[in-house]
Amino acid sequence: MVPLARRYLFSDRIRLAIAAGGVTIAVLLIVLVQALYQGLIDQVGELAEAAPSDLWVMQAGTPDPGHGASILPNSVLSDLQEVPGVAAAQPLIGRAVQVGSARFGFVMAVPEGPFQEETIQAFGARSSPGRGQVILSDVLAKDIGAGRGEAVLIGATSFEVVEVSSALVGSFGGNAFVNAQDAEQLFGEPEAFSFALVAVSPEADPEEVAAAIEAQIPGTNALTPERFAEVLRQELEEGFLPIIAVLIGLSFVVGLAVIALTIYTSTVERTRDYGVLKAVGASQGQLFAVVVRQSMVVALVGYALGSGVGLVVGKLLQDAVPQFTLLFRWEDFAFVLAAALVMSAVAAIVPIRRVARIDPAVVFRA
Amino acid sequence: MNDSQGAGQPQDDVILDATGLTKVFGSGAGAVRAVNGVDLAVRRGEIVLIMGPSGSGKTTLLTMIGGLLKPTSGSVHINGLDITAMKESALPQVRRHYVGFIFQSFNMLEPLSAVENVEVALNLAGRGGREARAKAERLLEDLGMGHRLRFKPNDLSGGEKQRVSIARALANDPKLILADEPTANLDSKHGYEVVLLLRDIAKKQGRTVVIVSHDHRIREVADRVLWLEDGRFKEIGRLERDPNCGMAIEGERGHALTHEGQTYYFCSAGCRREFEETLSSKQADGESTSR
Ligand SMILES: Nc1ncnc2c1ncn2[C@@H]1O[C@H](COP(=O)(O)OP(=O)(O)OP(=O)(O)O)[C@@H](O)[C@H]1O
Ligand SMILES: [Mg+2]
Repeated sequence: MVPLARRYLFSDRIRLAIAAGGVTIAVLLIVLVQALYQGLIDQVGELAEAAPSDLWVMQAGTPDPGHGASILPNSVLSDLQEVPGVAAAQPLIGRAVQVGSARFGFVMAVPEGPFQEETIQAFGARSSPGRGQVILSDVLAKDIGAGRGEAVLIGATSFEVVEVSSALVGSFGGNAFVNAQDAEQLFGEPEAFSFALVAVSPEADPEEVAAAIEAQIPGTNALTPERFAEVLRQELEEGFLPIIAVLIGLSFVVGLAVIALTIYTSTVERTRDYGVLKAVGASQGQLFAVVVRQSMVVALVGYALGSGVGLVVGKLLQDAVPQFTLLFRWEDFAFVLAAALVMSAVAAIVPIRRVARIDPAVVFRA
Repeated sequence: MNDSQGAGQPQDDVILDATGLTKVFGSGAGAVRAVNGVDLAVRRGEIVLIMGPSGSGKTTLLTMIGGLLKPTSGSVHINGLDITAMKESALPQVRRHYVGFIFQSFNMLEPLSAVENVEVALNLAGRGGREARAKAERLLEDLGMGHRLRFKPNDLSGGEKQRVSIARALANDPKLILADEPTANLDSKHGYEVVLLLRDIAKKQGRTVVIVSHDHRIREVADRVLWLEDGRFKEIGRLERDPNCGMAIEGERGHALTHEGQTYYFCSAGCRREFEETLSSKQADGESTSR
């Protein structure tokens, strides 16, 4: 078979390059926006999922630590012991507060409790810092320009940076770890903590225990780590999804327009050739296939280039701006592939209508 | 040469049969009756040459015969098949298997090589793979184009392009070949080669050939010459050749010039003027101008 579509497409390489380039940029945008978004979604739940416990208990109505600070009185710890199925409860202090010059970081501390060490390590610190010391996440340190051994202001108190760590978990990497007593003073809540990490006894069902906690201790919410992560992600999704949809939609339209324009101008230029093919006996369907194939090749080349460049640019972006976590998922690439194919199909409509109307008698005009 | 119009042959030998063929472009006051009630029957192996002035409807007639244009009224039967009664969607099938077109401007598909230009016609008729490629190569070799198979149309001469387009027209073994001014874009040597090819296509391969042309040499190979004027076949007058441009013209209607006892006919006043100028310059050189 003579590869008509390919011959026509490759007969004008500049046009092909422009078309494929346009689709590449559209695909690149979609891929990056998706990866950034998925990275955010992934990260926002990271802290919740990292807990070495079966349940998170927090002040009712404050599931998002970035928005409302959870404050629980110490009495909740003993109340928890009364709830059937609760094996142990480890307090955790954590709150968004100003760190350094002008930025809010999530400052955490793990007070004494049944699994203090395990909790400290689960959130990425090797051990609790001493009084007046702080461990900064590398992202936060870079952001406020503080290095090891330097002093940094948290709220109004000065702390010495003892470690800059890339291992601290959660809150977009903008974390600081301090001593529990410092944290109590810092937040001015000496007889209180933020969260209780609850381990349930082996035979108990975490969901049932959570329901029992909420029933027995008024003013608390108890969530499994997965559920807590989900709540955090949902909140982010509600805020970001419309923006993401608009960005992806616009990229889609740009890609579509580029393909449509290219294939359309090419069919206009080739009017006579399509007329010749009709005279030689091509059916409308055969000619449509020639047009659709061209538009599909453009879309697929753009998809391949856009995805490849997206992966590379994503890597570079990640290195340059560490607070961006990009997450590339195969299902997102499948989505973009589907989008590219839809683009090519829609882009072919106008050129196809044009080809359909070509009068084969044009071929007799000299 | 036989200028009579009647077929006078058994009906089953008639490959092309058009009756009352009419095409009106536009409507109302601006309507153009390009073809007006034409009857034409052409037998197997017969070559019919249609001549006539510009704008007389020759191309329009040819496109209707080939199933590229719906007539306003009248019918066309090809090999007994009424193509005017067919749905639009059935016509590609007819063009593929029954009709081959040859054009004045060759109409090569530029991005394809010579052999691909032929092969594509086979592909469209559902024949692919090595078989189609081999057949395309054979057709081109038969037309003396074996050494140009992979050439792009851009690198072929006019005569070579026309041979490729003839091979393409023959690809699906059509019974009817329709050619519109097949020699007009060629020099006289290559034009004549095409004339001989068309003769062989009719006489050796037994196809029906309808040619629209002003080329006098086609008269030598044509079984019949028809004169189309204002969309109708006219009783053919004595055909003369314009000595300036070479076009066929009807003697009585042309612009005549009598010189040294010889009458010349011209397609237009312009051609006559040019011819007069050559005559006078030759006379100035003291040469004889008699033929
Ligand atoms: N698509 C069209 N729409 C309107 N008028 C048309 C169309 N095609 C042809 N005509 C008119 O029909 C008449 C016959 O045209 P046609 O092309 O058949 O002439 P022709 O005999 O082939 O002329 P030539 O020798 O110059 O090629 C002309 O007056 C032309 O202007
Ligand atoms: Mg014409």
